Amino acid sequence: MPVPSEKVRRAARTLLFRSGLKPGVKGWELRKVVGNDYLEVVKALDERLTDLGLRVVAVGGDGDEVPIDPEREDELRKCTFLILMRGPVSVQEASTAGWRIDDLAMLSVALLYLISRGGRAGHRELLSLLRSRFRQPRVDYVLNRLIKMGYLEEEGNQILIGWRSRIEIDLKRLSGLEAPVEGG
Amino acid sequence: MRRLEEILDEVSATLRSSSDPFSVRVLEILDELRDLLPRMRDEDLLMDSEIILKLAEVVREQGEWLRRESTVAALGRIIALLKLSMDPRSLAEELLEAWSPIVDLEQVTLADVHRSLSYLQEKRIAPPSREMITLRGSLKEIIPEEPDLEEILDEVREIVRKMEEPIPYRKVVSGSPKEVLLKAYAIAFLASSGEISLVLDPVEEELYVTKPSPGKFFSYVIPVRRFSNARPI
Repeated sequence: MPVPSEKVRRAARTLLFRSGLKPGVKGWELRKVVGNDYLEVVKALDERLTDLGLRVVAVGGDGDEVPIDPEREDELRKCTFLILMRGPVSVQEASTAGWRIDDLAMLSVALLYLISRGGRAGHRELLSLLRSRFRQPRVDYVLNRLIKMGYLEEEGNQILIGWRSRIEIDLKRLSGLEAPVEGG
Repeated sequence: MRRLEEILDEVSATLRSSSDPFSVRVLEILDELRDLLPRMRDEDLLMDSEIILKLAEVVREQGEWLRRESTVAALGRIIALLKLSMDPRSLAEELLEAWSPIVDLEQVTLADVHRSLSYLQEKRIAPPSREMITLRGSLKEIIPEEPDLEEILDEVREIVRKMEEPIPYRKVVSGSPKEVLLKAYAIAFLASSGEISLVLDPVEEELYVTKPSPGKFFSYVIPVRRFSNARPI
């Protein structure tokens, strides 16, 4: 049975408009807004978004993607549903969105360093690595901005890979463990 | 025994359907087999040993999986470390290749409104507080004759407007005991309403009056006698 357009629209609005500090909505919230067949609706929305270069994902607490499969409904209710860009981003797209190449490179260095250190490193240690590679005046500002945006997280005097990086960035591909996939 | 058949089917089916050896609940099955053992007949023991054999195979696969994954993880760390030496543009491109940003529409939320109000309060762009008005009343009790507060405020405002560098508090809050009191009140009022800032030099223990500067607002008691040359009233 085809999913009603009204439900797809409602799901799209719920997913796109941010209601809290972090983007995305929990599966149980989506179910409340859309109905018991929310997983079918999400799949229909995902199909429509494909043409726009977007996709719907469900991520667990650890940032890992969970397949949108009705058999995993219990697990999906606790997951966060988000809309992501499909496939890699071009330099031009990133700069249009306000990212400087230097800032992206700093995030790349921070994440690669954290991966090499098993996911966490001292704040000072990371700062001194970034200062040795980039122009000093921007380093502190960019590092704080990356923490505020959720790409990195602060825990005491340690820096960790942030929730946003775990969702948005394919860390295995960044660290060179996975070859790029056509179409993302 | 029927239950043994079910367990064997479950282990075989899980192994067939999943590539993850950890999806088999090894410990629970072993516990269940231990409970079933006293009730097993001789012909059940064959099936029991078949289940144990399959579980041993699962445990061996779990060990291999762990070894493989730890090697991959170690390799990933080494490659990540090597990639750090790339030039900034290549590093940015590597990130973009692996990046699928979240798409969402930002809007004003209650949290944003709350944050804005906190900011305004910190900047003190707000009318004088109830405490300030009460203080004005207390001042009248100390100085019975009606002091021209607006005149004093304007006088201090003029000093601040003309100043080119921070002025010591004691230079502004000077004069007769009554003048000291009124000027101290004026300074407190102007600082609270954001028209001036006060900077404390902890080494010299000197308080300075400066032009308004950004920063966090917090309450501070100024002991007039400590920071001025005031004599008792």
